Amino acid sequence: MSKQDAAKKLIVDDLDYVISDKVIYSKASMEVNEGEIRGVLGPNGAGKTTFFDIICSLRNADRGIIKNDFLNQVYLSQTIMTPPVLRMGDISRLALSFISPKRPSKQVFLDRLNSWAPEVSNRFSEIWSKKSAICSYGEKRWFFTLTLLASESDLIILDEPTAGVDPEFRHYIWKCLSAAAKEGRAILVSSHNVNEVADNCDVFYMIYGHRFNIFNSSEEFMSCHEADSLDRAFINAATMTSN
Amino acid sequence: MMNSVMSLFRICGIFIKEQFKEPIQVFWIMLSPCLLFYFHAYGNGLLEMNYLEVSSWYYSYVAASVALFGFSFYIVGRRESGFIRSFVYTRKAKLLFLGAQFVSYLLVALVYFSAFYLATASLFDGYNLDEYFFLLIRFSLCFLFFCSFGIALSLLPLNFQNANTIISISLFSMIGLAFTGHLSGSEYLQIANHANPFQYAVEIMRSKTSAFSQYSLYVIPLYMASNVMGVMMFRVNPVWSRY
Repeated sequence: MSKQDAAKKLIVDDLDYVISDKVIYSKASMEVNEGEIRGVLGPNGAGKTTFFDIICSLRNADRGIIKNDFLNQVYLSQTIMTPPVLRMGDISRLALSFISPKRPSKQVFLDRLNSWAPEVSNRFSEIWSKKSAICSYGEKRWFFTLTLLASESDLIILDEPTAGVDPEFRHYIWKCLSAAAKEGRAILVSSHNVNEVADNCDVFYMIYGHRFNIFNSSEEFMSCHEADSLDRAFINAATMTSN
Repeated sequence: MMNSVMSLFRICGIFIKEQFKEPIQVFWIMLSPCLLFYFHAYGNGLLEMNYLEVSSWYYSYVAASVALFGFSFYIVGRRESGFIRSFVYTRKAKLLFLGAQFVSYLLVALVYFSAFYLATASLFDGYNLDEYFFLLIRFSLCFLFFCSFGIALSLLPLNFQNANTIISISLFSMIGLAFTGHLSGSEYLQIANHANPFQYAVEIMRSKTSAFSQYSLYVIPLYMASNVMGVMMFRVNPVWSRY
């Protein structure tokens, strides 16, 4: 068996999903391989979160095949409010206790983050000891994202992890995503920021026509949608969806 | 299995820490019944009455409050915060979550119970280990009884505020109905109290061994059935979300 064959994959094939008479997916296919970051773009309501829910069995597809080789996946939803009286470290331990049987250690996280982005480990350590009530939304968002990245999971699904996060920490999130992927994790991430997805993902999909349309580069995306900017290409693709 | 038990203890530790960091809960469930008991005892000459007769109302209130405002309300809270959607959606995680939620609030309830006993028993015949365990076992059964309703409540599509309102109104109505039935002896109120869980809790607290065994035969299967229902119909998505 070659190394290529042994690589873990998430394969979604011929997916159909209709909700309240609205077709979300029709014969949609995509895949995620270990060691890769794959992005998902789409206008509001296109079905990004719905797709992640289907992968995590939070809802059932009407038809299609989902083959998931990953044994330990995590999913960060768009919205999480945290118990105000607890410290972020406790919340992190709480969340990870449902995902992994191993006791989450702060030092293990710090060592891992230090090897990925040394700039962020001190800040992570500060937030770890901070009460959730006094953390900003953005701080909680990047803290959770990095916590999940540094966990033992092999497939990490992130629904708009950079929403509400300042540019500095958006940069560190992508730096850590890239490092985690290099260590073999598979990452599936959605965002409304076309530039960051095009710049940082190995491959990205734009949802239109009820399918995942694959793009390998920003140039390919712009050229396909006859646009001179990524935002314009996104708008053109989104217009195709609404039409 | 061992790993799951360790995860359960870890989660319980964090849930218990959260509960004791909520001063309002401690005030309403522990301090306020103690103070009310003192006022009643000194104001109405209750000291000449039997401790079990008088305290059964208070112990029932503590069991109901922890089961409904702690165990059940925090399930709704964790769901509405998006925490469950992100981390508690597999069957194993649901079992772990409900198990940890139950064990944590049982321990919290037992701490409140013990604090109430220590604060009030000395006003009557002093502390007695046999009496303490007699009450403890009955209190635990009352807690199981109210948790059964608590699980059912957590399955309803209620948001945080509505759950709070429904629990407050339910608890107030149950206590009011039981107490007025006790004072007036009205036949209608007696009939209405046949459907009042609080009335049964007071009777469980006062029950002798044979009656207690009979109550156990109803309450334990009720609790187990509600748990099965809780896992099977567990509500993952917050009510406010479009999912």
